[in-house]
Amino acid sequence: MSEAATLLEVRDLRVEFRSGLETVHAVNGATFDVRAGETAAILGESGCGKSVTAAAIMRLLPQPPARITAGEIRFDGESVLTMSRPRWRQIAGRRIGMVFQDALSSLNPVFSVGWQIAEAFRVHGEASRAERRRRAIELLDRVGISGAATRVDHFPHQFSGGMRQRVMIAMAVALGPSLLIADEPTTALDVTIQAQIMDLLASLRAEYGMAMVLISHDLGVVSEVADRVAVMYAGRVVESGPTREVLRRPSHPYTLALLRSVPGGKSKAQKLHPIVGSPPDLARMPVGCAFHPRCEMAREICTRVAPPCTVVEGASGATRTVECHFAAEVASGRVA
Amino acid sequence: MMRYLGQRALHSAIALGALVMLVFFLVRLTGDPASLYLPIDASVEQRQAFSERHGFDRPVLAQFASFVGDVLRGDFGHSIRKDRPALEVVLEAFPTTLSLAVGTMVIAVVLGVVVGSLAAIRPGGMFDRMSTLTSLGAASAPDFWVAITGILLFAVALGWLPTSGTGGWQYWILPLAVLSLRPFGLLVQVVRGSMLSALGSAYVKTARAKGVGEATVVFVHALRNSGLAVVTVAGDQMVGIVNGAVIVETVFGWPGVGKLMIDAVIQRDFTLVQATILVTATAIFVLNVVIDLLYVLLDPRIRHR
Repeated sequence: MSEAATLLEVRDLRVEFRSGLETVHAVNGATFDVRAGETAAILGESGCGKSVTAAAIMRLLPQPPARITAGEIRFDGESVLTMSRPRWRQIAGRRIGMVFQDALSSLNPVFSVGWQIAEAFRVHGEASRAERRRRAIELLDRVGISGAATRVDHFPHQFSGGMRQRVMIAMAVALGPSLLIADEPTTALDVTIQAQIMDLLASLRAEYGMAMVLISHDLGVVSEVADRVAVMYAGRVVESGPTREVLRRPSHPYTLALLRSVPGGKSKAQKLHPIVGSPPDLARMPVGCAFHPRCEMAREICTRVAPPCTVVEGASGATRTVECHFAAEVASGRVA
Repeated sequence: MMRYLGQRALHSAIALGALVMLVFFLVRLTGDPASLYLPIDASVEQRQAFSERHGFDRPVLAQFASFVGDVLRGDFGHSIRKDRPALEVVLEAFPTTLSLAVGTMVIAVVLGVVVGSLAAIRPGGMFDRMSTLTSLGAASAPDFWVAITGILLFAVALGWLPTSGTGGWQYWILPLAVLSLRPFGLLVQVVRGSMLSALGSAYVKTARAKGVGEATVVFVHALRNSGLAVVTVAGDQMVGIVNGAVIVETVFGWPGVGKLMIDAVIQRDFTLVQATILVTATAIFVLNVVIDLLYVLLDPRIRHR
């Protein structure tokens, strides 16, 4: 694999939410990289901090109650968290686009979709009024909305769920960003539509040469489109590396358990293996490894010491990082 | 659209009819106008003649029938007290009330929207707490008390403004200020609430992710979505004022519809009471249609239903 330049760097990101007496540790030191042009997935159950991480990258966390207590986010070498607001506004929308989960509530109900797409050009000082409209129509056409010239004046409620998501995508890629963050872009859609939207995202990514961060809980989607994957659990990236490697030979018990909980996944037997227990209460994190209460192979050390980040060499020579005391054993399959 | 207007007009006509009936009979329960208009020592014959001249001696139902017939022909009757056509008297007073209402609403909506929006930007902040306190005070202060206190302070003690009456711009300040208080207070509360939910919404996140500036996020994306709430409250308050800002008009001696109605009731000027009610009810009908049209204009989801 040729080493493309690192576009997005997230280092030891920590986000907490304070509500009343409790402090919820939503993200607890997440670290990952996204290289230019690649598709990186963040995979995890709901509540693992993947959407909070995305919101932190886009500076969309409501503060308060959220607070970024530590860590760094660098986009193209610049620190996102410390840059001035005017500087950030030049990047948001122009160099980083974002697609949200629920397109109905993510589109403003009282403005036409054309107006909302054209706004992306307007805030970045691009093009004349007529030109903005022409480009909005062009974009709608590109994302597969038929009759774009009339649809441009329609309002979000006049579109179906899949069409709305296409509008969202058109808006996100309007200025040809180098990074697209897609936060569960297909979760709210029918299965048939999901595939269409993923295809659209993949073809746009290739066309614009964008990098994409795909946030998802769907193993199938991730294994299909992502070059690399970061598996998140309880606010940490517990395993990351090339998607094939990670999904074929998981080195973290959580990744393994995820694979075994999905029909047609890793499991040889027909029976599914749901992960026992539930994700930890993020206000009362367990000592040691956050996964140990649910881990089938937890030992004494896991209850005391948080596992360090270890680098594991894969079969093809590609490396990945794992946070488990027994990563080598898990990877080699010497487990129950 | 025409069908909608027709429906609206029909409903209003029915409501108006019921109202007129109610008023017609109730006002006649207040007593015999002859005893009010004629000297205390008027003879029975004189009273009889007065009643006959104004038709009060006929059965009430017969009076009602001829009243309805007259109204349908556009004749609202003759004011006994003013000795002029009742409609003319009402239409003379109406612009005064209308300008008071419009002025009040312009002030209340502009201030209410600005203060409410700013309060919603930082909920729990200093500005928010101050504006909540102020708006609650403004919405709950009794207007007769505020009006009288205002006169005592600004007109009597400080001598900055006239006590009452009409004339130059100075005469507008106190009535407008007193009338604006309540709508202003309510609007601040309503705008703050709907702006809070709008600012926490997903579409505001989308706008921010696009790189839209905070001012546009607040005053375009969020505020446009609060338009319905503003129109609802402002419309309701405006209807209240058009209906006759009775207390404020009386305290400040403004010759508006509210004062006219009170005087007419006290003087048992039946025709004038009826004409006043018919005119204001019509105005309120028009106002409600305007409010409905504004809804349609503001929310495409209503437009396309």
